[in-house]
Amino acid sequence: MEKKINKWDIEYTVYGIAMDPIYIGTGGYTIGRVDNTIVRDPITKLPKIPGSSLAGTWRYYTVLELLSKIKDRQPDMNTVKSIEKPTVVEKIKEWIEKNSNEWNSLTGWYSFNGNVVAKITCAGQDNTPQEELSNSPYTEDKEGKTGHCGHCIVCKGFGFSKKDFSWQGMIYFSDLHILFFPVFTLYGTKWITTEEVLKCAGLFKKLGDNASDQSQSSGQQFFRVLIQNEEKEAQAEKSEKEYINLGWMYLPCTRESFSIDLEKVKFENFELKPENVVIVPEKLFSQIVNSNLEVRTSVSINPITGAAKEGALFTSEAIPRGTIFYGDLRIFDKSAFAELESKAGELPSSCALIEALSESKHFFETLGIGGMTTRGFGRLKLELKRKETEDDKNTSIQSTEDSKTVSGGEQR
Amino acid sequence: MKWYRLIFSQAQPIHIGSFIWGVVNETAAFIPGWTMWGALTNTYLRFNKFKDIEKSKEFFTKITNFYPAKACSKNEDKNQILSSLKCLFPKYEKGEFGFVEVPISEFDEDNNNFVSLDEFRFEFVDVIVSTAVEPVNRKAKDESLHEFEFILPKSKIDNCSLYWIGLIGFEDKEEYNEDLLKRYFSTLFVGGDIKYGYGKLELFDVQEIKKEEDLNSWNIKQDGRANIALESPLKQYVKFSGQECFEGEIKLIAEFDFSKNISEVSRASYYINIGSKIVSNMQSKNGDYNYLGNYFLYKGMLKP
Repeated sequence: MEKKINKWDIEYTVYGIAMDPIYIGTGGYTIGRVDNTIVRDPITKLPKIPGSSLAGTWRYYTVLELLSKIKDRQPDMNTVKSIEKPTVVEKIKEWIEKNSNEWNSLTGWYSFNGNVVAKITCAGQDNTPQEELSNSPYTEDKEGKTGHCGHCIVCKGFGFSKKDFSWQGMIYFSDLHILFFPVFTLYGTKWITTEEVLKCAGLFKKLGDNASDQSQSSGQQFFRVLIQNEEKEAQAEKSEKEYINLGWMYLPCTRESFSIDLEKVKFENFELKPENVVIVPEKLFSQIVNSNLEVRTSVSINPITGAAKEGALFTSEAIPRGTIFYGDLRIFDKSAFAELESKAGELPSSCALIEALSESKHFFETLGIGGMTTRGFGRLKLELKRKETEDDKNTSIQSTEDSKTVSGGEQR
Repeated sequence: MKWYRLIFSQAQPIHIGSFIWGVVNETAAFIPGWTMWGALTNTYLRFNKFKDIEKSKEFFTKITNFYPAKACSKNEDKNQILSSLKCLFPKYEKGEFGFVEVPISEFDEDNNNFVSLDEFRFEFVDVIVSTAVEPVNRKAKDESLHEFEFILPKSKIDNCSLYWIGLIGFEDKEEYNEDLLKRYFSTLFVGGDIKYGYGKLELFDVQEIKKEEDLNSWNIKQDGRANIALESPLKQYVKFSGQECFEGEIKLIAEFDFSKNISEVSRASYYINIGSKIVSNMQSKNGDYNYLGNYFLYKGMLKP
């Protein structure tokens, strides 16, 4: 039965690295000295990228990617409308049958049937939610805007809601939390994190004494910053003391060996090295992150005089370049809804959805996420890593056991 | 019937749709039985590939409301957490709705700390402001500003963790047991915006309830009928017949069909709110409440 559970959801971890400072505003609240504050976790006070921002932006980029490949093959909306079939699903099928040469040369997620009626307005908020699904691809509101088509892979994957039919979507995003945060130190830029964060991200494993020796010999060393109590302070007096600055904070530290699975956190040319990781206590993490955010003071310029505009000084904060994030992404298999085909049309497979996300994520590296993206903010590089299921683990345990047997118990 | 006490740990913020005030989507401070029923049924159906939908809708209807419970144990040991768990059960005090903190092993709700709804919201509820974005020019869409409230998994004051506690009852069939609950509901998504990092609950503990008094404190008997003690704060909504004399509030509860964009009301009735007390039966001369004995638990409500 366990296997059934594991086959149910397809789970991925999303890793991201900020290529620019990232600004996702809270909507203009002024707290303290900063005018434009960013979204934070209400308990830890750590900045984050909300799941809704990630989902909304990704939806938009998936539409862009899709249209870039299929727009020359799509029929005019009136052509689809004029096909004499009772439902849009059947009209789409009919059109594809008649234009199979053109449409069937598409591969993968681009060739999903409903994409025939996909439009740029399948991203963003629906402008015509009051329309019935059968009218949705063609109908315009008073301002001439059209809404979600309700048939393409984007609408099926991310969800839509029409007068007669609501579809929740198949892709679930979590917030992107900070995994490693870059701070300037006297040893150069180091990436700080905590044990708790590493455990949550499934990257942490403390080594036993023997393993520790092994890892030291292999050079896997990095800083571990501790606030020392009096007893430890006294012990440290006797031995050689080491300190590290994390921004303006100057803290005593010790070097310890840990095993962190940094293999998972790789972004093309960027690779985090163990010696550049600093583990700080949980209670200090938020303090260090928040005092090392990028804070910019800006002023509007009077276009006639070229001088600063009176009363136009403002301050914004942002998550700095180089911050590494992690979050979850799951895809629910809703193939059981096939019986709704007459209404919703066919459903995309999980593979097609992951393909769509993978092939559109490059837009985050150019168009970015959040605010002020036209002013050097927001670019983000993303990586999707499939999470290991219980099945996978069992298989790997099995294979390890097999290999042990083959090698007479010696671990390879 | 077999009854089980379920305790879920909260893994993500959750939003339980309550009211919409202008641009603010308010969250309720507890999980109504029908919301939890929806989450359980949806999860169960997904495992079963949405077979026998109509039949499956009946499996989890004998379910109570789920109330928050605070655990401040720093120890990660399950038993330690369970023993430190303080349930927040609904109660009115001096006309104000709130919760009373009751240790999990105790049923005396009188001598415990009262936490007003405002205090609970101050400690556990936060809000995010958000807008939709125009897909063509990527600016914020006009009139799309909205605020979204959610219950945090941890206290803002003392970092205590939040759990959710409630009961579920099954007919005496072999397949409906502890294993079924553990197998299907180890992870559950409840409430709104679950696609955006909200609503994840993880099953922390399941225990079969064998003592009648444990059930009575949740206003139910072994067979699922109502058991309402005089002057005791209600943990389930009670359908208002017009005959009860009570202290508290009355609520109009509507059951919606959410399958369409504009949800439709399928049923609506007046109910005596949770936390209220029934003080006497105007119709009954000898003060018994036999007619309430014909009320059954149904998704957090007691009704005929």
